[in-house]
Amino acid sequence: MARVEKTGWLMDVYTRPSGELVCWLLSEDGQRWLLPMDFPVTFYAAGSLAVLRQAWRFLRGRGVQLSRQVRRDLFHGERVVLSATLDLPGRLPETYRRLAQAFPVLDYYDADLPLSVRFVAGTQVPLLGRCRFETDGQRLLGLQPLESAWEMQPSLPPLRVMEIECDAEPALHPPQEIVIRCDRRCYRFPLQPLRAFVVNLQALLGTYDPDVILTRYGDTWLFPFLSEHAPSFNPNRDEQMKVEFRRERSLFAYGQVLYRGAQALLFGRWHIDRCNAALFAEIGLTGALEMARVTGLGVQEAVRKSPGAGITAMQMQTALRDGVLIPAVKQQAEATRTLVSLIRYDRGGMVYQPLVGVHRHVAELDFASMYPAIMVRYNISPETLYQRDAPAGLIPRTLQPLLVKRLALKHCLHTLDRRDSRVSDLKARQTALKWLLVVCFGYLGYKNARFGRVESHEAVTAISRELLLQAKENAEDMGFTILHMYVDSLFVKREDTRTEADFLPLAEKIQAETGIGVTLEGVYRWLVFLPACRDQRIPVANRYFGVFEDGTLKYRGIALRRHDTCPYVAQTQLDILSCLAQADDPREQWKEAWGLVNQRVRSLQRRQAAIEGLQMAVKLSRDPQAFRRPSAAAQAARQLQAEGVAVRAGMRLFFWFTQQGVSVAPPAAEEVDWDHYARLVLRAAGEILDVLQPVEKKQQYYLPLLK
Amino acid sequence: MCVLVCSRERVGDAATHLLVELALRGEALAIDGGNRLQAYPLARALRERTNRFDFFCQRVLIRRAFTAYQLLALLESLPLLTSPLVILDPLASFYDETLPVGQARWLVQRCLQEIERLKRAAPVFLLLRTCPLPQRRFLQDMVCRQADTLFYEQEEITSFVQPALF
Repeated sequence: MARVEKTGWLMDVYTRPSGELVCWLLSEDGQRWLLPMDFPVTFYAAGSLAVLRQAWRFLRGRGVQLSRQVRRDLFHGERVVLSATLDLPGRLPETYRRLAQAFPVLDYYDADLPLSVRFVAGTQVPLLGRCRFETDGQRLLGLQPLESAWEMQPSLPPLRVMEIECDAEPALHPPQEIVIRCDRRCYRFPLQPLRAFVVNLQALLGTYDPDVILTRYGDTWLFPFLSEHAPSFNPNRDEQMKVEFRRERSLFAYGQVLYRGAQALLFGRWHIDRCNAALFAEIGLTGALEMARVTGLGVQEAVRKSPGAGITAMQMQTALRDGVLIPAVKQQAEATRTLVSLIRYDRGGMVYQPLVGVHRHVAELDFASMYPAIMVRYNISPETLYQRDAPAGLIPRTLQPLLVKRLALKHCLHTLDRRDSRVSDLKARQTALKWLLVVCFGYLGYKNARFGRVESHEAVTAISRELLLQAKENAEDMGFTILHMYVDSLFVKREDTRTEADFLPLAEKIQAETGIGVTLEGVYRWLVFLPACRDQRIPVANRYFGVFEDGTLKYRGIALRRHDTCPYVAQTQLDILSCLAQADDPREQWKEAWGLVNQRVRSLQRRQAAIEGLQMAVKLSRDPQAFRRPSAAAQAARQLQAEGVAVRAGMRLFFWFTQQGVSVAPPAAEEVDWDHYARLVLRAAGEILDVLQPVEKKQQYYLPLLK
Repeated sequence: MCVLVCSRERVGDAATHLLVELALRGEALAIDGGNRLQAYPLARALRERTNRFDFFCQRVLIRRAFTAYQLLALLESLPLLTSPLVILDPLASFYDETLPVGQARWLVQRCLQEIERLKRAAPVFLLLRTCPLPQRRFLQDMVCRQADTLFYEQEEITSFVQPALF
């Protein structure tokens, strides 16, 4: 084939077993290309010169180009390093592993970077970005970017999507039937006989040649099952590759135990398991593409990993572009401090306890992306700590375009009508960026963050507390009463203010004084701050419900927001809120709301509620054998284990309350503990309604229902 | 080197008591390897023992390490001290499953070499929590073998608990 030039999109990069890099490209004429490309990669080692000399001897003759260089470490400044370049990127992990094993005393840099991040930084072509490429049909000869990752309206590749679903949850029941949707057609195949199913699936893959395979339980069941029972089946577009399986694991992150199921990754097309992709339910394919575009992580990685991995990848790109070394492990420890200093500075965001009760015409003002904005504005980065007038640090430079793009998308959303067809895509994209911004602050203090430092983390919260106090003073100067403050938002009211226009001068003043963008979330027709369940006199931060002037509900910290609330109880609470929202004052609708509760409880007592609505969900906080009490979660875990299901900490379990305890299988109506569900409904109702009326009035509603 | 092996929950309490006693006698450096230092209980315990709270608070110096590599870097960076050194839960980050076993062993050896260096100048106390992973128990054994004085605190045996009737 003669040399041709095409325009299209860079979809993904990966390495073949031979170690060569392959680019998956989609040209504008609809052709899919899997083209190997020359892409040498380099990693570095630093340490004592004597050991470096030994490392040099160790690597000599192993197909590695070696040289002595001086490179910049973010913390140590310029360092003499041994540079090792490999022509085949796939060989780097093994070479690094052997070297690190032989010379653990050396510091290693740029040694464990995701290949796609390296590629994006090296070529300036973002994943999913438009590009021009040259090929002779065998290899990729040239690649130029035509679009940046920060494009507001990036061109989208025409993707072919195939959806595969099974008819049962494989952990509980072996699926019998597989449903495949592609190009507006729907196919149903029995799983047995397996040979017939595999032939049909292979035929569909050949016919439709999808770019994306969306599955349910594809990671944890379908592909492992097919790999075991039909080893010759290959769902990859690249026939030289096999499915890559990664093992399941439980980890502790964001203050909770998380479970990551096994993963099945494809080459030349993407596989996304809806049940095993952390953010996919929220951001969808559009959001996933946006995340891959800005982070440089492949789509399959971006949807499965936490947003923290995305932020790290972005920091790596900045470091690679700036020629800053990326350490394989973080070694900077905290400086010595006194106990007083620890107590004074190691704090979180500012919380100003709410005034419990019903409030009318309340405005909620939010600092827009407060923590990232602080990091950018105040140049907070590990290397700029304790420095005045330092040039922009690595973290602010990474965050700046992200922040700008997210605010622009948000602004664009505000200007569009809700029914506009672009709204859902814009929302998905801005949510994807929001998650990256949300975690960027936590990653400053995260132990494994390459460019994190706990002192920088503390600096951000210190500044945020100061800014919130400044905002409070501004509001009070203008005659507002502060009802509640929570980290980056404040709730205010004043006798004579009703509409958004009345609150805008305050928002503008705070923005001008603090230098951080302030948005008016909205004006509540009424807002209720809830007390603690155990003591009505104690306020609880960030626990409220209210209705905006346009009738939109907002609620935080109530059963409806909890993941372990069953749908029936959640729906009841939502209906109560909708009932209250009809009035100008929720107290006026109190009796009607109790009428609704009455109806729901009676429906349970008559066993008329659908079983599906009573399914409880709980996330296992530890491995089943570590439970000390027979809680519902422990019982459900043991039942599943008895059925042969491998249960691990962080997994989400589903069960029903029954007369005998709990059941992980849907129980018959006579087995369900209906009274328990009635109590849950009453508790959820009381959570909202108790604060609206005095105690003595409540009794007359509660007691008959409990009977 | 004095080593106390106790439950995870007890590390914080033991550190609080030890640091209060040391602070009342002079300066002490605490290296926290597992985020076990309880700053507020420590401050309260100090206040119970003295009315010169600020003065004694200045005597407790703290450095935190969040990874095994940080702990090693921190120990390497310490000059020979004249005041006691208390290391809380030093192996916590070595139990991280993302740290290869071989690497963990090498890091513990290096940390012990550094502790050996430091203990020549000042007393060193290690407060270890009982190893939660049987496959990494050898790390705890490595540390215990190096101890001059070793205390084991018996762990409370926990099993399935009968729920209360009323």
